[in-house]
Amino acid sequence: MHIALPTAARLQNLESFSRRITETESSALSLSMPSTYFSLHPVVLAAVAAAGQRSIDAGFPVQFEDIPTTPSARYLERMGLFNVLGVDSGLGVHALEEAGRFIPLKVIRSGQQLTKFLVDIVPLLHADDRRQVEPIRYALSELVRNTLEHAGNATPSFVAAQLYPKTGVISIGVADAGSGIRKSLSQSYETDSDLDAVQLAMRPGVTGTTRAPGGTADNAGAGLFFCKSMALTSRNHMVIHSGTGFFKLLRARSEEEASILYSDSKADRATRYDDMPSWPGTLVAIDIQLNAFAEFDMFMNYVRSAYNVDVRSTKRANQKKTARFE
Amino acid sequence: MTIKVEKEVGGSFAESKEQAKQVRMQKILPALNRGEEVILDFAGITFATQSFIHALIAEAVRVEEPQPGLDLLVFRNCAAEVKSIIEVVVSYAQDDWSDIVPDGEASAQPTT
Repeated sequence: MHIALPTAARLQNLESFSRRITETESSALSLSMPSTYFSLHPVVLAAVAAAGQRSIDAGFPVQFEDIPTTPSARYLERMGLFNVLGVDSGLGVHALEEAGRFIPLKVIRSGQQLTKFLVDIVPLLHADDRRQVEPIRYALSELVRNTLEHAGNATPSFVAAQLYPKTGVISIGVADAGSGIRKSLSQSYETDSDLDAVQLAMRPGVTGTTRAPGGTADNAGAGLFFCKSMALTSRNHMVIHSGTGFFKLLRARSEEEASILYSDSKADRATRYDDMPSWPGTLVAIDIQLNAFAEFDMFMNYVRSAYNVDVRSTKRANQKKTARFE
Repeated sequence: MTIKVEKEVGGSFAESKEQAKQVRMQKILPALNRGEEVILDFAGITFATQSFIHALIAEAVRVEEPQPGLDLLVFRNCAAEVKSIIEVVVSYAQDDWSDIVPDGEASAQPTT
């Protein structure tokens, strides 16, 4: 695989990254980057790390065409990319020197490692208000668990994030180079394409571990749906790229549009491709506006209403029992 | 039986499905099968993921014998955020998922 990093790859134009992936017969990764300034979403770093790990595991050291001495390359160093790839960049930058704005690249191989990671990142976020920290941990937990479950064969997931204090937006990227969503769902569902599989995986109640709608006792199959809802209600993007399937939830254009949740992602206002260069696993990227979740219980009420749309329940809402709280 | 969730997960953020499954299998379901009330005490839990709450209680909500599981579950000391997630899971766990709407039909029904 060869990846040519673009000069700009945020979620609104992440296609500029995905289109520059060149799959080869070998798992060996070669990488090139611009010699000038570049700006990359954390999912790009997570993707390069995942592809790099796959290359290293196959016995091929990652090949860099050149590492420029630019601020952008130093950003990659700070985020831990070269360290993950086992490369000495020669840039001499200390990681974490801007703690509070970055969650550097982290490899996660199990649910237990994820739980520890979610504890360890709290000091990094430097947030006084726990209401800003918890939605971040919520999204990280759901996204990483999702990729771990889809990747299979104990394939690691890589995660990184960047906080923009002025706008209150956090960008989160998670990637693996495992088997991908379509293969994962194929245990229980037939799909026509990678894009179909991606969209099916976003539907609440769908999980590769069972054909039974609603999931299993352990898995609701709703993690991606909840994260999509967080992106939509905070008027941001979310992207999933798996195999040749690429789904980009577009930013809601109004408060009204942001308040309409679809459980069927085929109804979402999104950009979709099924001819992207194939990614051997799953990339998931999300931007969320932290202030949008100060009243998280109100957000959950939106989600609850969307959940009911897709199911012709024999019990209408007023026939259901409610939980007993004390 | 009272289960202190904070003690079970070892922190204030409840997200581990492995931990939730352990509590469900070892404590909640056996108690419900005996017809015992189960109090889930969320004191100290500031946030939980839907995946955690699902793994903890969705199967218990669907228990029908010897008594409906939901009748025996009590949720105590829940923060507003945790309460809202429990309400979501309790609601969908009672749905008849076997009659899911085929592809395409749902797209005509936005919810607000």
